[in-house]
Amino acid sequence: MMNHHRKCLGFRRINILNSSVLMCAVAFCVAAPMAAVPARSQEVPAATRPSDDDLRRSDWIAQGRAKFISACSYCHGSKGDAGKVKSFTERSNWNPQSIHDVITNGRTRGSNVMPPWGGSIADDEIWRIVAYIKSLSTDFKGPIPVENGN
Amino acid sequence: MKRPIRAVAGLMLGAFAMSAFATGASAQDANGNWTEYNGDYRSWRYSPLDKVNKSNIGKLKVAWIHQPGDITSGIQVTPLVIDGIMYYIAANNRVYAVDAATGTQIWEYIPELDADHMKSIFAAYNRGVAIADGKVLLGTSDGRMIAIDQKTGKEGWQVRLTQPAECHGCNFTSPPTIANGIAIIGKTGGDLAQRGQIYGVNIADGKLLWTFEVLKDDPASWPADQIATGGGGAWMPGVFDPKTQLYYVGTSNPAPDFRASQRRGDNLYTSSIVALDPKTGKVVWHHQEVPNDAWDFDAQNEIVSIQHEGKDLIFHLNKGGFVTVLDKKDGSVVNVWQFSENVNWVDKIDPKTGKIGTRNEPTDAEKKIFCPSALGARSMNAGSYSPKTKLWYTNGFELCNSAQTVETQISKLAFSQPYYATSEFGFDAPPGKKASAYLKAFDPLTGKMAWRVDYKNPGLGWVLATAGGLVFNGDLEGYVHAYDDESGKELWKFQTGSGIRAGIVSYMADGKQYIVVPSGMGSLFPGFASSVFTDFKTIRGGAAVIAFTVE
Repeated sequence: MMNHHRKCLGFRRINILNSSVLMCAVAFCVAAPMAAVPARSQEVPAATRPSDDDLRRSDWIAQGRAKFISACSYCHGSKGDAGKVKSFTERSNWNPQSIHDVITNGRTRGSNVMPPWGGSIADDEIWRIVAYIKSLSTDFKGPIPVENGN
Repeated sequence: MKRPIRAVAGLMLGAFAMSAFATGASAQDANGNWTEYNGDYRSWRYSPLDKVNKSNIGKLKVAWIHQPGDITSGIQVTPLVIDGIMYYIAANNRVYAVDAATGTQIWEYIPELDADHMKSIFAAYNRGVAIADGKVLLGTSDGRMIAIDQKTGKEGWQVRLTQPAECHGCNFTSPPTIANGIAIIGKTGGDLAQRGQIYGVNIADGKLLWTFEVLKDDPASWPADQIATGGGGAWMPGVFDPKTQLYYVGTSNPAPDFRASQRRGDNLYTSSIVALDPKTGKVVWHHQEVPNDAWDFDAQNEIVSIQHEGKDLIFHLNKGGFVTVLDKKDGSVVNVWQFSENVNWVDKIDPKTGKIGTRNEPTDAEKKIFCPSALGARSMNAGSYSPKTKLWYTNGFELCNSAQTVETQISKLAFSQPYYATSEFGFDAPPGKKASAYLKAFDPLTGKMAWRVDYKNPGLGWVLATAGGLVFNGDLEGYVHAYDDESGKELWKFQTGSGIRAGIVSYMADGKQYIVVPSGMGSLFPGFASSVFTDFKTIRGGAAVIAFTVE
């Protein structure tokens, strides 16, 4: 039933299953870059991340939003304005790799716990969630229209 | 090392306690112990102790503090106290026994949990242990029940009950309920694409005796293609009544939470009060509060038993904002009254039958707002009933959520992803109003309110009322308050350092009455509600058990 081995769209899949120390954050806590230390950052390879333009693709943002609403909004609100973190709508200059890594690995920060989503959300889907989260930032330059993308 | 005088006191208390157990009496029969999660089978969370009272509450001071050292998800426990020893569970299922008079640690137990347990959205936290036959029993974050020795803390038997890898992380977050040598526990998972169960385990050897399928295998109740992923379960403890010899528990919501249209039928036995035979796990009677639930309205809250005009009654608050009063012998409806100030998911509930009126449920077609929210009229933190005032003291809040549904492929759910089937979701203030919170005192049979205290944010701690005429309640900001049980006037407060998300209890040790307050905010609720109650964004976590007494 789980989607653990889905082929990603050109991005390296990060297998974090069976990690012994993965902590997580129910509040789906994607944090400010300097605070966004993944639970096992040493295990996150220097991933090939999408370009800044890819992360502005309108189809990615829409797909990321759909996944965010279904998987993340209960804790974070539909626009990332809930959760025990700074609102996503008040962010600027937010490193997409940090967002990606926290989603993938989860995080425990104090009493706050966010589960790791890597391994059960395909890496390409995680990048689409990143695209949506980035689109909420104050310095978002606007979407690049793409129709019928994938 | 105990002092001699304490050993004597402990023996005396032990004798009282043994006597109480032998007669089927309870923590609330003035022996000074707190032996069950909700006090006893009546779920009053009331202490008959009165050494701390309205006249001396001003002298209530901290006696000791014990910290478990792990604040993951805060501390959510209701401690137990037997024979001068306190037992409590903290983050990641750490269990402690401490001297209840001094806070000196006697033993600790730290289980080795499967690493994958942290992938569950219900990871790390736990609300209590149960004690029976010399064993401390816990349900674990990775789906087991474990028995540890009450005297030494050494691990005894263990039994795996759930398979978290197959059920999106379903596990245990609450203590078992003890019923004549059987430990009964339900698993999490009303929000998961799995099938909920309740288990009966033999306390002597850990053998699984029976499994109750919360989702009734009945095509009239469930579409055949929905039952395997229909949610359910029972994530809060029930109660065992030694008089009726029945186990009563409130069950979880069905899944997908908000898209009831794909599972038409009443979806028994979700969102229900069920009375089970603890020997077999068979249903004796049930009352479903929300048929074909479309709003995430679990029935997890405390089941409170009282006597009225010669009848044994139950009253119970559903997340949907109504209190149902039932005849305990057969589950027939005696009354239903509206608890929440803002309700729009149904136009009415018949107070004579409990039948719900016209439904307003989420649809695929449009985003709508529903009140109360999926967080309920109140969180799972129980209120307290005082036989002295005949009032029920409980927190509550006014909060709504918006939702629009969408068909959701189970194969595309991530491991930690609840099965909500929503395309839009968010928490909101009631339309045209501000979100609000309160502590209220009610006549539990009629809903007549005696007094209220307004809170800035939802109170998430479990309430304690005492024979000393006091009502203790903790708040988000970290204060524990003591109120006059008749007027609601605040008589005392103390800053504990973190928000309170746990059960306040009282007990006797070395001749003194103690009030104990576990302090340390955590759990899922603060994140959920923070878009509306924004103070939740900045609260500090923590974990400390703080005992108070009057010198």
